[in-house]
Amino acid sequence: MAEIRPLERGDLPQVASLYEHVARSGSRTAPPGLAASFEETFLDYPGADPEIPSLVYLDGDGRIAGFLGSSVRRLVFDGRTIRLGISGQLVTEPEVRNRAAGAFLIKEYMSGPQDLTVTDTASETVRRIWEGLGGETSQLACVGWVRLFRPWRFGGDFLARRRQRERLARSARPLWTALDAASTIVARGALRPPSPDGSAEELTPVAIIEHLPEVAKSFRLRPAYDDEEFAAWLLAALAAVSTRGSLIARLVRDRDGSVRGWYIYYLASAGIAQVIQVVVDERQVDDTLDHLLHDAWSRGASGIQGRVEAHLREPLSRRRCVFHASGYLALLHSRDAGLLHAIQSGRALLTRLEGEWWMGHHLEAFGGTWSGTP
Amino acid sequence: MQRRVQEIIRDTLDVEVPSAETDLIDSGVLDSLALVELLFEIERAFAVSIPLEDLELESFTSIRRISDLIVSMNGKAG
Repeated sequence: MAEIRPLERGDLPQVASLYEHVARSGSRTAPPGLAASFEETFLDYPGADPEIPSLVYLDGDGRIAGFLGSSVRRLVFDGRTIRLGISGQLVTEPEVRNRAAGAFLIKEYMSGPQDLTVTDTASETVRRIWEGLGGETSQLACVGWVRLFRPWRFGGDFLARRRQRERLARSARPLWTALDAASTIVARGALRPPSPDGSAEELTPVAIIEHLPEVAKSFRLRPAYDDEEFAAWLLAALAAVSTRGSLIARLVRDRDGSVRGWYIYYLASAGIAQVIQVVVDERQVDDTLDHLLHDAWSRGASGIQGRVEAHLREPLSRRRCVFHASGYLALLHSRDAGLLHAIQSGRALLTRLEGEWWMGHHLEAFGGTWSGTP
Repeated sequence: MQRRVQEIIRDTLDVEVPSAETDLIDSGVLDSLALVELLFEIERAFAVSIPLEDLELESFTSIRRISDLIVSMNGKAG
């Protein structure tokens, strides 16, 4: 008889092997660091919550044939602390897919004691399963935004990534650079973001904890980053996903020195920056967004993209950002209709950081030779 | 009731299940999408709502167990 139970430390080698086979190279031999990364991400991170564990699916012979990763965060909703379960890294052996292993894993996870369950990299099939089990889609969070600075290089990098021709992209860079320089003159400032007001400085774990309650106070739902160890771990975990690029995290102040917000993004070597988080007072978005765009441009990014959030939609539109289907589906589940309404009506500060999109288990080499494509 | 569940499986999944004791999981009749489609059709046909907490692997292993689950849901509703 098949069974679903919480992940145990001794399962990690089997889980890593399963994940390597299904989500990475296809080999049964996981690289040396993958199991250790799962251990840190799902068992040993600061604030790990054993009441909302990762799950394994055991087939009739007791072998691990499915896995669903769980990361738990604390949020503040209307002044009270609640728990968020982030569902991710769902993998099942092909031979148990006709035994509904994926659906039962999702169902088991949704049934946990967390107040809210999310996933932000779902496929269309997972969306249908998720909704069939009572969840819903966060339509806005499925939309991406992109702002081009150097369109020729952006296009060249995009095509190279799609066709996995990194060397060709590198050799064509001088051509794209020349064309982008000409385009910048012709476009008369439309491509280059304006210089922002105020100042920006390195974002630290202490600054996150100190400023989040004030900056995000207008949201009904927001992260509860109030533990320095957790905030430091989170920034370090982000920085460790080196295949996505260099991590840039900046705190923004206005002319008077008051904190306006912060942003976190990856500056990729291929030139397309990926935004992970923009934290702002929803009534004072401009300074932080201006710094974000100018920062990415000044560091040589060909463009920058991120996930649309309700309070950013109009300010992004004013800054010549283009909206598109991101290709990643964001799904929600909660027994609390008021909580879902707060999210779906745009009164929540939930970013890619409160999801699994940024995690690099499918990308990083972990001491092996695999190099996924972000 | 078991006959009605059998009909729903046939109509929804296009699968003829030979007996009420046939193991639906081991026989590979149910993939994940089929499970949620079956769940939807059962809830509609029998006017029950099966909470996630009651939707266990064992409850869906056979037509008999699915029927037992529906009966228990009706009992809770009543």
